[in-house]
Amino acid sequence: MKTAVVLTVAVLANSLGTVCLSKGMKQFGDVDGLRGGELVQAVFYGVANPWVLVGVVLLAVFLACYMAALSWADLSFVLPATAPGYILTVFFSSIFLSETISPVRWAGTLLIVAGAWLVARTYSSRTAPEPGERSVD
Amino acid sequence: MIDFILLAVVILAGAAGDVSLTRGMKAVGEISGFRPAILLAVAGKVVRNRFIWLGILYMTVAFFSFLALLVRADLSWVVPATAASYVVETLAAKYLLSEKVTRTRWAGALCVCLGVALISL
Repeated sequence: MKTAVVLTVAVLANSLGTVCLSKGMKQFGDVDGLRGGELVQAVFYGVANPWVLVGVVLLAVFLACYMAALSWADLSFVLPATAPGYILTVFFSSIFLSETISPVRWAGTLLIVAGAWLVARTYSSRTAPEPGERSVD
Repeated sequence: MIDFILLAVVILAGAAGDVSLTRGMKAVGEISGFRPAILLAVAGKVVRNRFIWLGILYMTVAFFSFLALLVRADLSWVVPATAASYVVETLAAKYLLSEKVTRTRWAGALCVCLGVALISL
């Protein structure tokens, strides 16, 4: 239960955080062709952008939850458990960033989540306490 | 092309950061509660662990590359594309760590590859 709550908060904070980062970074201008020095300049701009700062706070929340979870669960459990977050991020991109998500991109995203889940299935799940350890929940 | 180079940096630095942070937090030990006194004690151990700092350094590199990527590309491409890390990890498990990689895991890695190809169209 503790793991479920902490990881749910982590996934939400991560998705909303990246949405804020994207919103802030895109305010730098019309930038599809940016490269090299201009890109570095854009990153310096981003560090002072309010949306980016909100995004960083949300990602700090994510990191705190993530690190807490890693203290009692293995990376090989935590990483796959947060995989469905990709769907949420694409969904939020469509709502908050007005990105057009083509059916092909949705299909690709679902394949990615399925693939991540398949890879996850091959890890042994170790949220259960090891012999000699006390229970976590 | 630049997008894929930045993506590679995000993934590789992120993976190195994950490994370092995991090693560091295992050394710190399980967080047994969220009372201020406990959190303060945990924070004290965290800042004195060198693997945590190494992890943070890797994560910083990954983060700034991620920001640079977001200037150029759609979020709905960037975030799912970072799942290519599952492929990188599977290849690393097989060829760097000589772990036994099951068919299911290869199938999953292949799924992720196809998915990343599809979202990149």
